[in-house]
Amino acid sequence: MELEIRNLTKWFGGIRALDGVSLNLSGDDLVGLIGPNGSGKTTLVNTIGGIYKPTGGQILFDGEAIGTLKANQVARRGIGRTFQVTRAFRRMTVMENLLVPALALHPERGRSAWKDRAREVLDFLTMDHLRDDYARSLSGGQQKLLELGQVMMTDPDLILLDEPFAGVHPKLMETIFDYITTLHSQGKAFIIISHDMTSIFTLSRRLVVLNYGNIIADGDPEVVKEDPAVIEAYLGEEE
Amino acid sequence: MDFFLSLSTTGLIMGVIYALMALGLTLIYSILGIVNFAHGEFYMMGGYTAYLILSSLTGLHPLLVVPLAGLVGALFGWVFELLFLRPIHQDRIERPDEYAILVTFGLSFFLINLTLAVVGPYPHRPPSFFEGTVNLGLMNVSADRLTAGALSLVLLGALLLIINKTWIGKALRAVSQDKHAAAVVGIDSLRMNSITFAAGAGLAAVAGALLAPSFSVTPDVGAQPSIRSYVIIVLGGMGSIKGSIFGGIIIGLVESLAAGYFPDPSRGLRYKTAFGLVIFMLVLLFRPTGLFGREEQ
Amino acid sequence: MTGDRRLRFPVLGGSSTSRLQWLVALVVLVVALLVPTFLQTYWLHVVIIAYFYAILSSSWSLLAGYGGQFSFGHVAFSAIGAYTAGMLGKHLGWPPLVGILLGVLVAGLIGVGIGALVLRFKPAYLALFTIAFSEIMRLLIRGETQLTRGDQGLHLEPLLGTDIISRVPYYYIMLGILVACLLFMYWLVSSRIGMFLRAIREDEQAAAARGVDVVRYKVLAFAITSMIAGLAGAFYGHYVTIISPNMMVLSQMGLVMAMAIIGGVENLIAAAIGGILIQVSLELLREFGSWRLVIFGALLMIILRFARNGLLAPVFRSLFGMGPRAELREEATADGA
Repeated sequence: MELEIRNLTKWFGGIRALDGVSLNLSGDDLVGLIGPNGSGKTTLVNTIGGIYKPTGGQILFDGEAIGTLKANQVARRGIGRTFQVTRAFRRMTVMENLLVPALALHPERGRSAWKDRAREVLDFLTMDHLRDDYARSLSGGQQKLLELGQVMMTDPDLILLDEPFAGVHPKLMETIFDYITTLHSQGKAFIIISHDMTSIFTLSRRLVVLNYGNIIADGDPEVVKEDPAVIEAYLGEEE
Repeated sequence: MDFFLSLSTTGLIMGVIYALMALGLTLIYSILGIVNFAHGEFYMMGGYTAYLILSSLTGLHPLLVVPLAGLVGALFGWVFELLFLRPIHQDRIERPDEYAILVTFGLSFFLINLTLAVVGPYPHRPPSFFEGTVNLGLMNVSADRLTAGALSLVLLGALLLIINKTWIGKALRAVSQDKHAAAVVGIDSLRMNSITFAAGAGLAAVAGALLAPSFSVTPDVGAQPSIRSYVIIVLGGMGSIKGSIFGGIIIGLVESLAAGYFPDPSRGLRYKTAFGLVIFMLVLLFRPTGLFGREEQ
Repeated sequence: MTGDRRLRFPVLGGSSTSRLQWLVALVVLVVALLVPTFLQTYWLHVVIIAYFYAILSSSWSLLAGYGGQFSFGHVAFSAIGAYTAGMLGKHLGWPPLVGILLGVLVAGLIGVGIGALVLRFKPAYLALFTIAFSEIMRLLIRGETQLTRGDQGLHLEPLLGTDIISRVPYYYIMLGILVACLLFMYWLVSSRIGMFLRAIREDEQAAAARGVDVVRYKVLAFAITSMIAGLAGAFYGHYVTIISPNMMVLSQMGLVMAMAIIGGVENLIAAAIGGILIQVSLELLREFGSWRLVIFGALLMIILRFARNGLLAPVFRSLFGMGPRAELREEATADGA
């Protein structure tokens, strides 16, 4: 897995959401992406994921330029993502939610084989008993897990998580934390956006800080934590 | 040249009236966030109100009936909004976008058939405001249309004044920009919604009453004005007041000139609305925000 | 659990099958087959027309209810099918079957075009655009009298020739087309295509992020449903033998919409039955004249407001116990409970 982001810019009308972002990931890197509100974190993830087209710059995944690809094509290349506000398919069952990505990307394996795999994933998430329930009747935390399950179905090499811990109570947070660690140990790379500093610091060996669409720090969490530019960004003070 | 001037004058006059009706539609879109698919039927209601009142109260001067028609339209609009649209803004409706389209279309269907059932399919024409034609130097214009155009102009001016100078206009603008912020300063957006929908419906009804003497009314007379209004607000930019005025005038001119200069004159007349529709589809495809619309992400 | 190789035909696209459901369908089919034995010409004709509307309302429900694309161009596609067949027959002398086939293809091609154009449109814009398309088509058909005979109406050859004057064979053909279309759409809906359409309806961006080729399936939905509408229209033309631009006025679209919504817009069968019931009711209530449509208009609005899923779909639900059991559960409490 090689992700190369070169001087990525994204403009919305007059707003520069991303202002020349360069970032490299390889192997099973786990990057925590932090920054004040509006710094461009979700925009970055959306641009990598193909929901937004870059205004300038390049995104290379395993050597291939994916900047202009549509979201479903990006998914096909092996990049999975979750959303800040969960977007599971509410009026479809949990099982169907899992089958959609599977059958979309690998229809040749057949529905029944995928159903078996889905049940494995559901077991892993201890949600198997919910498989015939509509997603909308799940609790917020369960829906977050469901989204994670959707991502797991297609076995991506790179997983983008947008606020996986947001609005989730501590017990579930632990669970999600464990799942991420397990998946990481299977060799998957991550970019994780989070405001939850504790989790992010524990999870990642590498922290990237965005501010006003620029990367202002990239490295060891302990070092980044003390970086004056980072502190200033969060406090919004000029010093 | 005379031909061109004559066509342009007609176009301008009609354009101003179209603008009035489109303004109603754009206000509704701006404040309630929905496209009123029954807008043409309020136009129709205005025309029929004029006809029905004048045929029972024969002594009344036709002009007096215009504000009455507007009130009737506004009243119907108010009631419909309360019963069927308010729940959207109270979060009581699933898939509100879809619902708004379907329920206003349903209203259109209902009103057309209601009119058909109550009054019948045959065209009716209320008495003219003023008989004959008026000589404007280079050409003659029907007195009715001139009156309609002049009144529309006055009404447009009054509306612009209200929107820009009065408290209620400010409140409307506030709600159209940010419902929640408006609520913070004490503006009841639900009340604003009702007022706006009623006003929009009333404007369509006024347009209907103004044009009824010129074109007569049938239950489906609202279909073309409806579509024309959509064309205008998309061309001008959905939610833009300036846009609906400019758009109205442009479409009025386009229809008049295109029909007049079309190589086969009888075909030209038949395809009058088609010209607007083609513009419409092109705008939707290539510049969906229209002339003055807001950029949306 | 071994792979389940039995075909699943869920009424609601949910995951349960029901033997009862198939039994009832069989009974209904048998009754339908026997209808000509107890209905006279006039009422047989009414039912044939009702089947025509059922094809339109169920295919519209596939595009709109299932696929989430609320197009107002559906009756236009039906007219395109009819007029293609009609014009080919009149000007080139081509036989009805060929005309019908081409009607389907032309409708499908234009459907692909429209579907591609409206891909990024939000619901209101989609509605407006398809209304404009429908109106332009109507004005064209009305205006180009050389080709279409405009308001005077275009004559088509009866499908079975001038010798067969009985309506009975036409009944079976229309029934056959209706059943074939329903089965096809049913199969589609229970296949992964149906799942993708629902996912797109639920959340287009999320569906794309999960790998669904949104463009392909949205356009496919338009293509298929416009072909079905074209088929219905073309055959209708060769049955009633005279068509006019009035078959595509917006009130016709309103009627088809009302049928689908009152029946149940997210359920093909309910929409089809809605079509049949409403058309038959319109005939039964003939003495009420224009008031019939007033009642249906009011019904449409009330159902939209208070019974979004239609009148028939919930009946199916409770009769056949369709749908995941969670529907009967209370909504889970928020966050982590």
